[in-house]
Amino acid sequence: MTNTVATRYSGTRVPRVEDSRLLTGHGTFVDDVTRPGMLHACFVRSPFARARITGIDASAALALPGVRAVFTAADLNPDVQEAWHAVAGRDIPDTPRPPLAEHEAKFVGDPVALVVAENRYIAEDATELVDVDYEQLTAIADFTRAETSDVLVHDTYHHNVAGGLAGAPPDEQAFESAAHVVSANVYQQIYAPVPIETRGMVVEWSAAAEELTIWASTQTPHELRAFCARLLGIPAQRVRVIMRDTGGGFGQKVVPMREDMCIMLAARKVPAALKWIEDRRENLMSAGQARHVDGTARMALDDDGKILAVDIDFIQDVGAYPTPYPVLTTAAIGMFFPGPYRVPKASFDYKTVFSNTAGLAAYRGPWQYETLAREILLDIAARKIGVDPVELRRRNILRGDEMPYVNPNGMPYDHVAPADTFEQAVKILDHEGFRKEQQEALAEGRYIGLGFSAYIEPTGAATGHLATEGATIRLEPTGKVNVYVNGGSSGNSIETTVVQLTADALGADIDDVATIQGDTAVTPYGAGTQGSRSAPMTAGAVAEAGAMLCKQIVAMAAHRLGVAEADIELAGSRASVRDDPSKSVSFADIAYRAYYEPHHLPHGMSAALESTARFTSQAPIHWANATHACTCEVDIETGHVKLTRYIVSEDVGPMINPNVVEGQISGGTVQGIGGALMENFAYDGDGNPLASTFVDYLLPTATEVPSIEFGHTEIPGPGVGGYKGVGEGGAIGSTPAVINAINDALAPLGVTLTRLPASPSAIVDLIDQATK
Amino acid sequence: MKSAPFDYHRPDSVGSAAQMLAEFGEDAKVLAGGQSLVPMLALRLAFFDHLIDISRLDELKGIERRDGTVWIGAGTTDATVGADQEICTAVPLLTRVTPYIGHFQIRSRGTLGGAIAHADPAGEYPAVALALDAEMEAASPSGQRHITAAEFFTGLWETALEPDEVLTGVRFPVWTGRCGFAVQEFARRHGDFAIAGAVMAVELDDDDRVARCAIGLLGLGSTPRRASGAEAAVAGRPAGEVDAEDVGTLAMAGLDDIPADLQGSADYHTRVGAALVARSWTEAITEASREATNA
Amino acid sequence: MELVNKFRVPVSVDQAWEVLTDVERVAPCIPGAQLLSVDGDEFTGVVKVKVGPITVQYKGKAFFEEKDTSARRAVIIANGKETRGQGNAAALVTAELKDEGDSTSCVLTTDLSISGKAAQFGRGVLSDVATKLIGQFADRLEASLKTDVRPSAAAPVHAEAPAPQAVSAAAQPDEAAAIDLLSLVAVPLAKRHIPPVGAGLILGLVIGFALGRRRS
Repeated sequence: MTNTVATRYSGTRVPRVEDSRLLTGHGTFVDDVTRPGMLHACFVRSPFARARITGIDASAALALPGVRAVFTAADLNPDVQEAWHAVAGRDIPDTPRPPLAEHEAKFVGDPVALVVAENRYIAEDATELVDVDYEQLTAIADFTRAETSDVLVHDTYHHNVAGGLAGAPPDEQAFESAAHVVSANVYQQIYAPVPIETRGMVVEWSAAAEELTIWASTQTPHELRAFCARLLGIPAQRVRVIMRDTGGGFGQKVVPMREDMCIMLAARKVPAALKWIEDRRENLMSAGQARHVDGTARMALDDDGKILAVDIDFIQDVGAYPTPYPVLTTAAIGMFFPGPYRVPKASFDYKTVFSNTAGLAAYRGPWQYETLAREILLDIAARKIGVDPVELRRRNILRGDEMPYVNPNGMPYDHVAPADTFEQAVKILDHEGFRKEQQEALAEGRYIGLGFSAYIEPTGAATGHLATEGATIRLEPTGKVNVYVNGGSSGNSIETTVVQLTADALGADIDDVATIQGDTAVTPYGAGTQGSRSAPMTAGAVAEAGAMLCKQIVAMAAHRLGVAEADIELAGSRASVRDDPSKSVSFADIAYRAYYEPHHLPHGMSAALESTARFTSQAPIHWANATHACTCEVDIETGHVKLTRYIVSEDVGPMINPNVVEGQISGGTVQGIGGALMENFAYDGDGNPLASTFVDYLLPTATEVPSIEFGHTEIPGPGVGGYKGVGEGGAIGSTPAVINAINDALAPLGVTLTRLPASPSAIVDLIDQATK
Repeated sequence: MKSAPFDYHRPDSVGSAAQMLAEFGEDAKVLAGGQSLVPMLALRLAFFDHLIDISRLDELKGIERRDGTVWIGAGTTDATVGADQEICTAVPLLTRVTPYIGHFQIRSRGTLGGAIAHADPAGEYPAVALALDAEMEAASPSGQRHITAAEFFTGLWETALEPDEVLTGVRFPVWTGRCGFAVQEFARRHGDFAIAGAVMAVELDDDDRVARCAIGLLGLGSTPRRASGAEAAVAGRPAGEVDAEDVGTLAMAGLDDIPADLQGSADYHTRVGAALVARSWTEAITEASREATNA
Repeated sequence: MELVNKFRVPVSVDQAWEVLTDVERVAPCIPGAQLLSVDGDEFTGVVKVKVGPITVQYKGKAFFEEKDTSARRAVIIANGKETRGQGNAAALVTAELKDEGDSTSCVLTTDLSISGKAAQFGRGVLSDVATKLIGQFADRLEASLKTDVRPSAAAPVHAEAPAPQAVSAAAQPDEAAAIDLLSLVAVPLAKRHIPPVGAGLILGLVIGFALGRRRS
């Protein structure tokens, strides 16, 4: 690329282009979409965690005025043509996923019938009237007992094991001979993504044209389109997915799941568009849950506290209907367990097991358990050895000059300096000052503590359909710029960052640039937003498409201004002669000539002011890293934890927009704080979900979270612009930092909490046990 | 989450509202702020064929000081109660407890009468009413009557109100003299249902002895509770000789239906309750001690 | 969940057994029950449970799975579906009487399983309802047994004539005691001659309809 463009917007806190419509209530979410004659769907759901379905009598429901149809598995399921997902691939044998429950309900909330009515009120009235005959069966709700249970969630999976994987076996010699060995059983509860907009879609089948249009709440509009076409056996050209605004995804909306399949299947059986939007209870109970891992982590260290070996052995609950393909995604926990530390040897062994609960979704940093287990263990080791947890990390954390570093599981870290983000966090916190404060507090009978957590994460992993990204940039006849990318903007500000990148790529004024995303009819294919890929991948795509378009603009400007192409500079939506800025022409004028007066272009010059590129990522992974640090105070009478300071010291490479980076990290951090302290999707022994509303499922609010302080470090990644992904990190580093802060505060009482969440009653119980 | 169908009525007087209740019987429910009722309807946990909206009736609103009491209209919003200067001086427990009720938006619609008639065991206003021996005023087609707080809360979400009665107002006694007040509530997050809570009023005589003490408990039973045992134990004793933790322990002693739930075991609720009573004792006594002695 | 209720009544075990298996005596003890049909040992009915503003209504059937006269042991299986919404209550009730000379002790063991919305909340507001309801039933049954003045050998009475008496005897404590009990709503038993319901069904349905305690 020549020297024609200066970076002006990337790196700055440009206000978001999404905000003016979103903050004034003018977003277009699924429930804002209205189509002529539109009908509404509502699912009849099983109240049992496991039951044989012996009959469904919909006569009373159908007799209710306003009810148009009631579908059962027999009506919808046979119409499935193909139901594989790109994330797993066509050839991986996936776990069962029937649209409606067939013969057996396998979790409370399992959809067993679909009611279609004129409005949602009537649809809900009708679901009450659908008479389902259930024969209740014993359920296995506790995944830790699933392998030995007599109850099988899916007949074809013996011992309820979905799969598993083990690396090389642990080097027990290393553990036996080490100066220090620590071990902890870490149990993490179920918590869930909880997007503010629940799942939903409007599907409209136009029989005359044989075209299907879907307005969806999704992170992956193109894959949704492809999946739908495969599902229904209709040509993909006849399927259009339009995603305008999506209110949060966090991994729950990457893959269309069973209810989505039902709506798509039902759409051709009803005379008008069919809308489905789930309510909050449905979202909590059936939209996919996460985490829920039980495992034992071990660490061997030498006399100086240097890590010699780590091992992790765990099981993960995948529920009844996990997203594809749960066995492989869980492998990441094992692979990343060594973290951003110097670890000579590592081993892992895991199984994923079914249970009669909803099903695993790939929630923001789905492998988070590895950081949770490791960071808790490091603090335990520090206390055992008699060293400050900060100091222990300092001795083991990887430095920038050690890159590239291949972790013992073969993960090739590069373009990170974990020691830098770590020391930055320590400095911002004023570690020594805090230790002094902590001693004084203890003397007063107050328990305050600090917790650190460091992680390294693979962002923008370029595998399969994730490896490329398309962008089309068009200079319109008016000279304004439109950039088209696949979409996935669900609160992660992709509209804004793409506009910034494009403005910089072309030297356009940012007010002249707009983006169109999420409509499969007009945007290039892309894998959507997942795996923290959007920043590095769109940066690559926009850079390539931008370079092509720049060439075209420069060629036309050079000709028009009578100079050599090398003399042209693009800035502020104008092309100017570098050494004589008075000689310039606006993008608007260039466009006008190209579109309306192409005869003025030199013979042979293309009139095109539009470029399309498909960027293939050269880097298989863009490693990002951060250290989280948190201080808290624990009220030992009530068990209440108050977070007093929260610091994130992160490296996501150069930042396209610091506001966006901080927003992404804050959101993830708050989710992790929720996971540490209060979010708990608990089931009772019979598989009844107990936290099915926000009265019981507790999300952190503004009153529970302190202002988050940031430290930025920018170590460029291997991709275009050096940008790395930022979507998931906040949710990974936060939970362990909070737990470590609690354990640090309660260390004088001999309390170590390793079973989450750290609810007030759990803390009080531990204090009781320890002080007996 | 859409409610089942219902007929909506907006009577123009309390009398008409009571008539409607009598006419429709158990199929009707009074709607005031709706902050407790509407979620139950939306969740389809509750079903009523008729909702009788009394939220706009002026006769149910108002705050009046009368003969050593403060009368508060049942339809007065929590926000109004919490911001009122008269209440702040005359019944400080109401002022101090109001910020714990949900959030700002909830308090702008929720009413004091609604909270008391709904009688949630973790409710703040019911606990204050019980602690202060407030008097409820109710109207039905057959007339008006008064119900003491001690008789009012009869069970889980149950009150002594007859099916055709509308709660019209609550009269709170005013404490004068060397008084101290405290509210201690513990919930998972600000605005959540209390895991346990205590509201306390204490009066000291000129010799710093406890002239009287009233302790209301929330979240520790199927109704709000009075810690009468603890109250009796401290009466007449020099404040300085009372151990705060003992008050807490005593307050928990009479309770026989402490809940066990997703937040914790009955034992946990009890421990928190005891700790909060102890803290309220310290806070209330400190405040009372600062009050000037009666000349 | 398992619930156990015990009480003792100053009547002979034979009398107690007779009452326990006499639907007409037991029916008035259960507020909120409305019988729909009787067919030998099987009964169907509807029970509406009200806890404050919350209502749950179940329609179900029950039958005596076992009636061991010599051991004084009856086992009833009851099952009810929510009439609005997808939910269910199932109970296995074992009633055992023990001869204590002049008096009889009664132990009711209920194995209860609730599903549906009522079982999907963690806030313990409904945690003691089952216990209260069964306790209430047990109290009334106890009272009913205590006021029994018929000779123990009398044949089971018929629905019409004695039912109002039995009903009113139990109804009075009901009205007086209703103040501090959950107001379970149903057709006031004193005013209508509803065919009585088997003890097991009532107990089972009541327990089933009670919104169960759930712990995480």
